[in-house]
Amino acid sequence: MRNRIIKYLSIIFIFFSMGGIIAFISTQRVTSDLKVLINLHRVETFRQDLIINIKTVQNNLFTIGTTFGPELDIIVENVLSLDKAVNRCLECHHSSEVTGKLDRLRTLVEKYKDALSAFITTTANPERIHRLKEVAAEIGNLLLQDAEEMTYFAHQKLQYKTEKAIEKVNKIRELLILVLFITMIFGFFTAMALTRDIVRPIEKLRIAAEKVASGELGYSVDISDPPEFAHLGESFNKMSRSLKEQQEKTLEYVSKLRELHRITLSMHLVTEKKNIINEFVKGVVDVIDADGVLLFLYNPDHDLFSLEQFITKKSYLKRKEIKYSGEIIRKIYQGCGKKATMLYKNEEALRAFSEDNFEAENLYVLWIKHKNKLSGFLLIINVKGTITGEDTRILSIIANNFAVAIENTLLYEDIKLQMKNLKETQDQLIQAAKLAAIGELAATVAHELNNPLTTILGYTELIKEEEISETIKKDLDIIEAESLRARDIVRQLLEFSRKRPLQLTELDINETLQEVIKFLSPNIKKSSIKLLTEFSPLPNTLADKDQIKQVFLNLINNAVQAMPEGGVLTIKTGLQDSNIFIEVSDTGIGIPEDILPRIFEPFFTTKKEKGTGLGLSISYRIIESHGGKIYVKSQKGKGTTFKVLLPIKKHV
Amino acid sequence: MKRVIKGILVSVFSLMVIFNAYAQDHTLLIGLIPEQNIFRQFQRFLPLTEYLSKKIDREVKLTILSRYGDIIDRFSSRNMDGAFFGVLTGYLAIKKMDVEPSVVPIELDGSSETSGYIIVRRDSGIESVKDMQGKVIAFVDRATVRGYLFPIIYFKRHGINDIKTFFKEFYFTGSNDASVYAVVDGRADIGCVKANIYEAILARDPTLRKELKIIATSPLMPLSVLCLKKSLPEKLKTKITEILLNMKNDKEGKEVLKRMELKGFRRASMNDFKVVDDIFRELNIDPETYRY
Repeated sequence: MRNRIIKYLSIIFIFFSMGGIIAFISTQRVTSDLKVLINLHRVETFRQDLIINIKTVQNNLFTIGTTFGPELDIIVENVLSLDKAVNRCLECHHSSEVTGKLDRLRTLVEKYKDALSAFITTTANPERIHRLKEVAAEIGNLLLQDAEEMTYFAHQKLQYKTEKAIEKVNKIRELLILVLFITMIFGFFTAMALTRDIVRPIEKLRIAAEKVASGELGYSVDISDPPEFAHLGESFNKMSRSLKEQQEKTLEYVSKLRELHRITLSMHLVTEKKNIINEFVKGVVDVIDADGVLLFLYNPDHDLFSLEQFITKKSYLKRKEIKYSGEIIRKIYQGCGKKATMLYKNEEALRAFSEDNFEAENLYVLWIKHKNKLSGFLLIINVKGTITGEDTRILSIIANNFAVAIENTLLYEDIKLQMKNLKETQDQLIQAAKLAAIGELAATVAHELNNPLTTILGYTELIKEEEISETIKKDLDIIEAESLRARDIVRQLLEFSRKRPLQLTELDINETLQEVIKFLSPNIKKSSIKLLTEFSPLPNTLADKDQIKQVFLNLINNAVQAMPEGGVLTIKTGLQDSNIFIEVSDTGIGIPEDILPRIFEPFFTTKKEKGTGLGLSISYRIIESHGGKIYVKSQKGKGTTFKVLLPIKKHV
Repeated sequence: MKRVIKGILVSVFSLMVIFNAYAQDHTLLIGLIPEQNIFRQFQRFLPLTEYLSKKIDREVKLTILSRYGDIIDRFSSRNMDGAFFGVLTGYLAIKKMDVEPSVVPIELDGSSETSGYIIVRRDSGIESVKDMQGKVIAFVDRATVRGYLFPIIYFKRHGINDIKTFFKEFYFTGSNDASVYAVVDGRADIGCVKANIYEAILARDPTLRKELKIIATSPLMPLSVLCLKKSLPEKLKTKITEILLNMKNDKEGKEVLKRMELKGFRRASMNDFKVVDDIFRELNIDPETYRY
């Protein structure tokens, strides 16, 4: 393009130069002609001066010696002016013809001067003086004649030269107009061509720029000519490609960030440790293309890093329980000192990991830290391609989030447990307060009812000793039976309300249970109930045997009563944490869910006339007084399980 | 009021008169004798006036006279400050006026003196004084030695005491070159001329050497003498004289001398006029009464 512009501009320049040269030459010629004309005019003036001078001198000549004759100095001055006028004519460049005439003029002037001088200086007789005067006058006339003749010819020549000069000026003007017109036409077409050459690639570039601006990254233009625009087009294409690559990288990065977000979010959304581990490992697999991913977590109790989860493409693992010594791993970690490290086959660290667990060409180790402590690590086996710094950063973020999520899970579990305990404590407090209130009421009521009942029973016995009809006797039996039942209820009420001190002895729970089962076995057999016992060896514990037996009695009785059509009664004992547990399960009708929370309330019963609704309340209070807990699980139509936890207490 | 106006007018007039006098004082007028064609003579001395004007910071003008003799009469009337006199006119001027000699020009060949010639045409047949009888003779001027007094002595020495009767006609051309051309042109048979002018004419037109011949030659005498008015300031006179004497050492002066076809100037003295005394004595003429 530059060459083209230079070429075009050079041609225009040549045209202009031609015009300029023509103008310059023409100006020179015209100027020269004008100079000639000016000179001719000046010469004309000189000639006129010459003629005037000759005439003046001639006049002087004829007045010399008269009153009106001028001073000799003036005559001398006039003659010298004449002489100067002739010399001035001679100074100009003339043709040989004019030069010849001027030479003749010069000669005449010299003769005239001599004649004049002779006439002026001669002292002779009047005839001689007259002759000298005539000679001088004659020369003067000749001089005048020649000068006039020359003036005429010069005037002719001046006119001719003027006409020629005007003609030349006209020709030059026409030539200049022609050159300027040609230059303009060429310049116009050159401008058109250049504009076209420039505008076309610019338009292409504009369209391409708009395409890129509208999101069509990577769009390329095809400009082959002119070279400058071709280079510009190449640069544009390079830029477009670069933008596309950048966009792809950005999108890839955003995708990774999204993936990172998804993984971290999923890890934080789930509360189960197992699920978090699964999400973590799956997330890593999504980010890195490898043959397998293995997650190891630290167990501080045994100072071991154990395989918690893995995903492999093939059967890389030779076994599924892999454990590394904490000391070895810490040593490798300290040797790396980074967030992650890539190990290769010939490296000792890789061999330490692989041992006879798996085979790997390379191994990417991502360390999981929490609160500056190594809490685990991730082994990525046979990574495909390269892991960039960005990948490492993302993996580190996932690992950190994983560590935090795990920590959160533990915290969550802890909080959940605490909340549960709190709820239980709260329920127990409510229950205790409720029982205390009911107990107090029951004691008052029992005291008030016991005396009338004793009176009723006394008088009933006295009446029975009287002569009464059989009908009345039967009625009295009913009164006596109901009164006894009422007194029994009152006694239970008093029992419930009375806070008896615990008579703690070393108790064998299994043996106590055997005693209760033996006592109730007739009822169990009668009810066609199959009894299953699973007693684990238990340590003795300090407990009030009578009260504990009452609890077992209540629970087994309730189970038997819950299976009127028969069923399976399962009684288990065992150890749970630092407690002894006793579990009594039936396959009975179950307790509806809506009343399940109320079953330990006093006087709450589902057995109508058969129960007082105090058995479970008393059992609850006895277990509580032993520092234990009692739980119930029930499913309607499938059965109910009561679980008693008693702390193992020893003599201090 | 009128007195004031009169006073102002008188003051202005007085100033004008003083200014005019000052201006006149500042123009130095030098006279020239028509030694040759008056125009040529005038032109020859023009460069010298320009040079002098510049050197003395005073305008110097030339005035030329139609006759040698006029210079003595008109020296005072034209208020000239000096003039290039001929030997005779210089002699007479010193005698009659308060002028003093200053310098004498030196020719290119180094001589400051020249002779006078009596010339004839070769084809005139005049070989001696005898042949001149009845011919027309052209003198230069009565106030010249070489153009008049020398030929008179020459003719006297050859026994001719009355030129009026011996010659058919005699007249005065007024200048040396006019005498030469009078002989060349046939307006005179015999011409009296200053040798340096004659040689200059022949140098310009060598063909004349074949046409003319010299019959008699006078003794050498100064070419011309610049005499300055005695009343001029001494300082100015000395300055003018020194400038002219040292022209040959000055680049501009050399150029002027070249144009004047001179080598330089030498100091003039009264000895330069001794020849005139001898002539007057031989002719038994009283210079005081000599009519020129």
